[in-house]
Amino acid sequence: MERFMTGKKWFGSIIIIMVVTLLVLAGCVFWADPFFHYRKPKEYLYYELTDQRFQNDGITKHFDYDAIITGTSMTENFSASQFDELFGTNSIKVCFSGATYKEIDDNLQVSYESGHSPKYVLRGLDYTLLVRDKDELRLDMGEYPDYLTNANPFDDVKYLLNKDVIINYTLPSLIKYIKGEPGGHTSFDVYSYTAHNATYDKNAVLMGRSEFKAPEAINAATDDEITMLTENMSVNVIELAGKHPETTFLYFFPPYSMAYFGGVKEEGNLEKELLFKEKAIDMMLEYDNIHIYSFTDALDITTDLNRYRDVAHYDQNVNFWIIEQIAKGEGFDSEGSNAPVFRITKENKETYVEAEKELLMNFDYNSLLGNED
Amino acid sequence: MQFNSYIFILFFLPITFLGYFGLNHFEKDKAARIFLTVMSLWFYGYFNYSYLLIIIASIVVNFLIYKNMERAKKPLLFLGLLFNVGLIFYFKYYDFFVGNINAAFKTDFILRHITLPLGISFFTFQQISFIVDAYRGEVKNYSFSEYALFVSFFPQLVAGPIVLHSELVPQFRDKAKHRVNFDNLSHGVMMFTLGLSKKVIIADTFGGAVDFGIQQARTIAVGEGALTISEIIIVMLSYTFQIYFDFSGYSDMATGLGYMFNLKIPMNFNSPYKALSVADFWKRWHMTLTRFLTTYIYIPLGGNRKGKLRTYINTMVVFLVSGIWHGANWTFILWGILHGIAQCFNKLTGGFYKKLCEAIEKASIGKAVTGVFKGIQWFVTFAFLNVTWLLFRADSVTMWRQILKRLTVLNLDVRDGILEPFRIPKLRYLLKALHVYSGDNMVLWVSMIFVMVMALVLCLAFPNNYERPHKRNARSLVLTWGLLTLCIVSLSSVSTFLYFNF
Repeated sequence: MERFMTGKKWFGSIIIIMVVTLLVLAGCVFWADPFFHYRKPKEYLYYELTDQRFQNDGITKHFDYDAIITGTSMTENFSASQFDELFGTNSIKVCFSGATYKEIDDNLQVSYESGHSPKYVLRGLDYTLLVRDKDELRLDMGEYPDYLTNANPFDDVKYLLNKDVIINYTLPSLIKYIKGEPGGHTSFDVYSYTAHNATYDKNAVLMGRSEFKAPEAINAATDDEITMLTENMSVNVIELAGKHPETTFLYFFPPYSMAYFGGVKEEGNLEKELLFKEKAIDMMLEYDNIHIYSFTDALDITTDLNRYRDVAHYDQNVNFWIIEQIAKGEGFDSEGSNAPVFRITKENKETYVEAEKELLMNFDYNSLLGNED
Repeated sequence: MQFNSYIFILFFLPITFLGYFGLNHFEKDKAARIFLTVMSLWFYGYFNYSYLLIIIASIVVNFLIYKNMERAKKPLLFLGLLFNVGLIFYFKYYDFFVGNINAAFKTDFILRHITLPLGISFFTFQQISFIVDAYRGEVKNYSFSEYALFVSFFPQLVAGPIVLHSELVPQFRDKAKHRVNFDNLSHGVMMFTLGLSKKVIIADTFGGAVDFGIQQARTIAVGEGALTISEIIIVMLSYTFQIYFDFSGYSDMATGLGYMFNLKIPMNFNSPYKALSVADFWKRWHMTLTRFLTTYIYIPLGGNRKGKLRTYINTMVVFLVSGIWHGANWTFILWGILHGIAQCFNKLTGGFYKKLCEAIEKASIGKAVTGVFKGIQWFVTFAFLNVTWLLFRADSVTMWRQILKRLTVLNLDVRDGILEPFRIPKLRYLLKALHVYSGDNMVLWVSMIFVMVMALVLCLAFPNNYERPHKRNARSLVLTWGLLTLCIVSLSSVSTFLYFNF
């Protein structure tokens, strides 16, 4: 026979078990803290690092480190251990795929605000995001977890009682702990690494393209664009370097393929894009602790489209090579070879800009289409 | 504030409950009523604090009209109707009206882009019924605090049910209802949880597929890459389920919350997808709206007492008003007209059809034949509802027509984006264990079909939440615990950012 309860008993029971359940769930998340919102990782728990927008803030706030690798997808395939080996650091890699300069700069500020004082910041500066409003965030990609980054403790409930945080992060950590598996976290070589999911192939890069046409008209930079660029650079790139002379900012323009510049030229935008780049370089050269690197003239890479998955994204070996080159530029050259140094300085800036312009304006982009594969 | 939010469930509801019954416990009836009104206004203002001005003005003006009703009945009734209709017209239809005038006469009147205050359609209708009843002399000695609470009472404020003053105000006055009643409280918690589950677990799942489909229709309307037949059917069914589980879930939550405060809120849905005709559907769907339209429009127009032709005209008027009430877009107006026509068709053929069925039933295999008839009837009704719901959801009548036209192009492909919202986690492992092909596409299809079938079974084979017995036993305790926990942790998720390059 079915047993019925009195209203008082039923209601009392549901309130008690709900309160207990919610407290236990929130307590587990608080204790394991898989997004490092409250404290640094516990040595005996294992943490999967998989979600940039949700975990980078906590990593930046609470990990122990003295160097930061950051940027967009152009920096995702960097090997933090290679960097550490060459520079003698203990780095974190906190990439934000698709992020504007502002989003990356906001995260760097968190590092200083949380008491860190990194020796190096390695950061990519995408051409495509250079001329953007200084306050622009990528709202087109989903909602930002503001509850993790703001100072309001009450909305932390969205973190503590969050289905995905419980099932996909907290539970696996606890299960590994119970099984007695060792603690730790996904290495920064693996975190954000995407190369294993990508196919690097010339055909993908040139998909839909049969030729690079001559531009129909040359577009001039507008005043609005110049203002946007200047503000974006000064607020989101340079200001921090001015405030923190103790840090060396290794800023690099990623080696997009020549097919990218071919497309820009076809649209009549190459002149102004080079103008933007030069302005950005001039602004950065004002600060001695910003070291600028640019790899456009590494033609053996930028013309080899089989090393790309689209016109801009290069393979992991290019990432490896970039760190090697920057290490050489910084004097950490173990082999002592006299390979070209890709750093732009006050001294070589004029010649560099001239040579780059000469190269990109006159390059035979249609030669990229050759069917030698 | 929404019912399905942390702040409502974990903060607003507990303190409102404790405050209300606490004040009542110390015999401070009026203070309790005012407290509940203030909390309700906070609930409303949380969406947008500027809305508060509108609702407070609306309450005050209507109450003043009611208080002075005896002085000049007809003019004040007229003034009251004008005020309420004017308010809703301004906020809801001004831009639509001006936009159409601009389009028709090539004029350039400026659109105001007024943000629509939430729930204005509901509280305006509620107050129209109040003014009409006051005119008829059916409203006795309401105090301002009673009236203000009747309009603003948070469970029914933003999405109904459209409660009548005669249902709510006497309950406010009933002293017996001022004490905590644990039976009602338990009933309320169960009902709220079931409603919340309908919204959070079921409706939002379907919503993902609908959003993807509509977005697709916006981007590529016709030709290569537009929605395919299979996709259209999935999107159409998804929306049919989404709107039912969402809206009836909301009504269930409202009713459950009413129970917690010992206030009975009228039934709004009676298993509408069990309907065998459109006429039947409207007796089961959004019942308090149908009641309002019948009492305050259909009957005053003469109902069915003025001859056949007038009956049909009155029916069409009611559905036209219903269409317009649902939103300022031609889609809603056409949707209302289509339902009106279907309703008239039911009225026209209903008598003959009934006689036919009775005659057949007398034959030897009559029962079986009428069974088949009923099946067909259900299917035709359900299909009609699906097609008209698609119109209801479409951005424009053109979009609806384009989508329906695509049904004639034979292409059965389905994009993963439409199936993705249905994905059942870890289903792959189950398929593997059963030695069935467990590719990702298979997982998605199995998930989608499973969810659809479950939704249909819930709609057809179960009594609705309003009528099902809410027994207080271990089973209901465990069910409520599981569902409520799942709903609460589902209010927040780790959304995957959709990166397209860079």
